[in-house]
Amino acid sequence: MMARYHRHAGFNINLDSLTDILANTVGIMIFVLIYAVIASRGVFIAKRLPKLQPTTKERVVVICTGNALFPLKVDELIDRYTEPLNGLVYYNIPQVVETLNKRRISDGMLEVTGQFHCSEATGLFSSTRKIDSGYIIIVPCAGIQGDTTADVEISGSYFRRLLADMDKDRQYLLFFLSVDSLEVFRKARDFARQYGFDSNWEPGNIQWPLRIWALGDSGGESSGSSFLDKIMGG
Amino acid sequence: MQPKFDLFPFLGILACILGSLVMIVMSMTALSIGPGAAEVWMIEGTTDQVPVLIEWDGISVTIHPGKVRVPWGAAVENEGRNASPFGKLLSDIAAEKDKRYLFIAVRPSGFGNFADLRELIHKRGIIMGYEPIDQARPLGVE
Repeated sequence: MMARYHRHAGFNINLDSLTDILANTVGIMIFVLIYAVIASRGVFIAKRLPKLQPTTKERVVVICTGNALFPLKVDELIDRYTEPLNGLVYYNIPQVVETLNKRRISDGMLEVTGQFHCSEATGLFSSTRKIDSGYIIIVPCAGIQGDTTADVEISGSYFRRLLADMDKDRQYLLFFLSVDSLEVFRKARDFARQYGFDSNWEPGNIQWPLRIWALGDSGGESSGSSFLDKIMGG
Repeated sequence: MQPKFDLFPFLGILACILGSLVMIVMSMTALSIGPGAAEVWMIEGTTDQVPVLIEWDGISVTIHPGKVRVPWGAAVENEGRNASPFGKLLSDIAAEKDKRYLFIAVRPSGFGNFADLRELIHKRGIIMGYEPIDQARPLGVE
């Protein structure tokens, strides 16, 4: 009798609970599907659309190219590089040009060199000397790749050190943005904004080496423009 | 004798429906946040001036929210003082400088000659702002 009972009972499970769970999950998924259909018009992003505001703050330039950031102390570097021009007189033009062409200035991240040319014309009663042209050339130092998107939040990165050195009441960030660097630019700007830094950006197609026309016939560029304007123009 | 129901076929159907729904939802989510998704800007906060959004891709200006596209050649005619939709927009905003300003979404293809557009707007004395946006991502405004 016992043996018969066991054979008929077998392995009997109740599927009601599992059915309930599955039916409820399907119902929930239908609601999720309806929501997804409604929301699939796109990603809604609450945007602050800021206006350009006049400022008396001093700019601090950051080059964004190759999806990396290169803080560029442009004025300081160029002032240091062009120091020999301060002693320029008619008689030492060739020596100054030679000094400039040999000169190499670095701030640990970027290196500045130059290509200057001078000419001398001797007439019957007079001679002329002049600097015909001059380029300042800026490249990253050997082994420097700039800060990537991941580096922006890492303490000790070039960008973080730049922010630490900045005075947000007196300075603002100016990003020169290449087409391939939107991601790192957004990350850096958002990060800087969190810490109260003002910023602006300028579109450009900046590639290394960065050549800035410094002296002589600029080949159509407006005279009197700043080094920065020339970068933008380039 | 009690009637006997076999729930296995029903469970099978339910599981299949569940799997299909999960796949549909995940596909839609991937599409809506992926590279082909539109980026819809909702203007955040309240200001004294209302932004008017335009899009610049280097060859044309697109005026939002109607997405009216104006080729650059037509837009720049007579220094922006023309009968094109863009010319009219500039005139309208210039007449209401205290109430409206121009906000430009700049595509990477427009980086090279963005200065031309900016100069045109600046000459009209219109207040503006600008922001880069990915090349292929559609843009809308709420």
